[in-house]
Amino acid sequence: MGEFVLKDIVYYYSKDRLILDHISQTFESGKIYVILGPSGCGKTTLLSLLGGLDVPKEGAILFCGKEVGKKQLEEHRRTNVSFVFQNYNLIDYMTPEENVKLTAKRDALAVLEQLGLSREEAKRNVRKLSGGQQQRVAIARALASENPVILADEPTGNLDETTAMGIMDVFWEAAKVYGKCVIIVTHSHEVAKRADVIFELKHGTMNCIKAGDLKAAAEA
Amino acid sequence: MNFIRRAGIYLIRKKGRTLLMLCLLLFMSLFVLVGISFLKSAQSELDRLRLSMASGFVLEVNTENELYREHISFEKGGGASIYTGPMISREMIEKICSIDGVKDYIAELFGYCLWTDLKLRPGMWADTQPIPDDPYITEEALELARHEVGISSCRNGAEQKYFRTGALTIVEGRNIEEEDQYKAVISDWIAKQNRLSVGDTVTLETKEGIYQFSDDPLKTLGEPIKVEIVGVFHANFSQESSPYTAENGLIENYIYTDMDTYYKQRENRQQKNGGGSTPDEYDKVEFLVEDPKELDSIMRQVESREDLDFENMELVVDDMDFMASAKPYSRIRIFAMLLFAVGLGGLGMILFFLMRLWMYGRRNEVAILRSVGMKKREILGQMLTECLFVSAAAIVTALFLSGPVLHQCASMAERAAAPNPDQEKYQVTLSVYHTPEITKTSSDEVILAHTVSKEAALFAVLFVCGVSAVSVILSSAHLNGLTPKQAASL
Repeated sequence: MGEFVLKDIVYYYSKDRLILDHISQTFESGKIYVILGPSGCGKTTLLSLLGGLDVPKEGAILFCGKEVGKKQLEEHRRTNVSFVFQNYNLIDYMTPEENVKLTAKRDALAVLEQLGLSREEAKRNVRKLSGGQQQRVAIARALASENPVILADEPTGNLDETTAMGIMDVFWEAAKVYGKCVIIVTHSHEVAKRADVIFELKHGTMNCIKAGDLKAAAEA
Repeated sequence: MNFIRRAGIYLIRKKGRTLLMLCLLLFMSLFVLVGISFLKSAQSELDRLRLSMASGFVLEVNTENELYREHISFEKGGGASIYTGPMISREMIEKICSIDGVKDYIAELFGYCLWTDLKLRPGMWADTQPIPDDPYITEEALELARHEVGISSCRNGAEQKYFRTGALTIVEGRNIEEEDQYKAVISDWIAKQNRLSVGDTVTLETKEGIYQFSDDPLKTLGEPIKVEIVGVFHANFSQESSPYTAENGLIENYIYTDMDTYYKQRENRQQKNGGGSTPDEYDKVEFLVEDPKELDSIMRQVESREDLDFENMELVVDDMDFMASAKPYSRIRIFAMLLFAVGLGGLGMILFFLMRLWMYGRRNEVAILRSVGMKKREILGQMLTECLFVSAAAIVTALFLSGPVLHQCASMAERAAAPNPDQEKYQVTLSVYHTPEITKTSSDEVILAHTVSKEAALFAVLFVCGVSAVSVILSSAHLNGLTPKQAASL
């Protein structure tokens, strides 16, 4: 993967409500990035911009040196990035296998098996799976697409701690084994501990913080 | 996974919606199929009726206009009022016939009478007794009146109005044709009573007493006219006789002849210098047009001709009989259009609102598909494919059921539109000349198509698929126009 770059990004809902204030950052493959911040600080908005779900008011997003403009958003979502949402966002009338096949460039059943779902479970309706299983299906859809970037918005938000850690293991493998660039938005410090790079989004700006600072912030 | 496969999965997994949509589209298809079949069938019958009945206009002289009537007195007393105003000349007829679109004319010369020794259907004179000292009601005069037949001479009997409308039908032989000379078509009543059939000869005489008061009313003028029977007609209605209906006013006592017969009796009359119209003049001429749809424009052309003088004449569309016959088909057309409107419009609206509701419920699905990079046209393609799959299934089912459904509907419509069996199809009145005027008062049996034509099936396919596709496009337009983030946040 080439570089995934945010260049001077500005976003607001109204002129007096600035969400992102001139944010610039480069993301590399093979790493897990976590963006921390309190609720309403703009984490999801930032992720939406990265994922081509929205366009910044100012600034540019570049992927492999090319700007992802308004006309390239669909292509960007199809070939560059994959989403994992907090509420899984699976199509409820489809099976896990069919959900994965929406974007799959690899064998859907094989990817699901890799993530711990049996063939029988893969052919069941998604509503009959547990939360953790559904999240694995969402990740499988992201992995099967073979897109170089995985964007996860609160992927463990609806899961218990054990299941959450299992999901983080999957993300870790995706980054370290498959060389994906994994960008996770969360307010969970436990999740952040597994990251290579941690950002804190506050008052519209994004700053890199170290793991030690993270612990101090948590205790504070 | 392509959009066709996704469409198939959606339809299979959302069985309730699929079935509901299938039922809606099935009803829509049936409404449209029945509606189109009725419309086509009714229109076809209307066109056929128009060709046979309302295919022309009439130029008629107002012979009742007092400004043009003169009173003449008879030698032996009494008198009569005769018309002396403008008549329709042959020259006028030729000029009108030269107008583009005018096919032919029917100049029927009727209302004149001839005497025959045949047994006739009794009229008002049958039981009348001579009145002593009354010079008009003598035995000879009554003998004349009891044997007077009404004569109608024409160039083409089949085009004569009463044969065209079905009031009279040929039951043996043929009708009068243009090349005929001294031929006749008589009623089945006369044929039966006098044991006559095609090939027999009937003698018609021009009697003095027919045209004016005479001391010798039975005196024959000129030569008797022998006419050969070429056809026998039947009257498809009953004409009641009354104390005021003379023998020559009863349709059974009518004889249809060719123009040579007319000219011969005119020649006979002119020997006595009797009344009647000048050569080749008529008081009523019907003009037939090639295309009934052009009738109005042709009539306007006729009216605007500066070389035609229509003084004391009226140009009217002759469509009274057509209107009577067309009434049930016009009603069926309206009913068919209503079916069509309900099918496409009413059910179409229900479909649209249902689609909108379902589309709103699929906003999350749309957001997911957009977020994984699915193109808008692929998403729309999936929804259109879902809709077209169900439309196709509905149309196939409708076509399968259309036979029995249309048969039932057509039978019901035919029964509802059928004329009252107690009502006479034709009304007979006497004109001022005491000739029978036959007007159609009701329609014939209504006949509709009981099977679906290929055209109707094609229309149904196009309309149903079109309406359902438009419903999908309109109901998904808003959703598809949103950004994925907007769609997800709905």
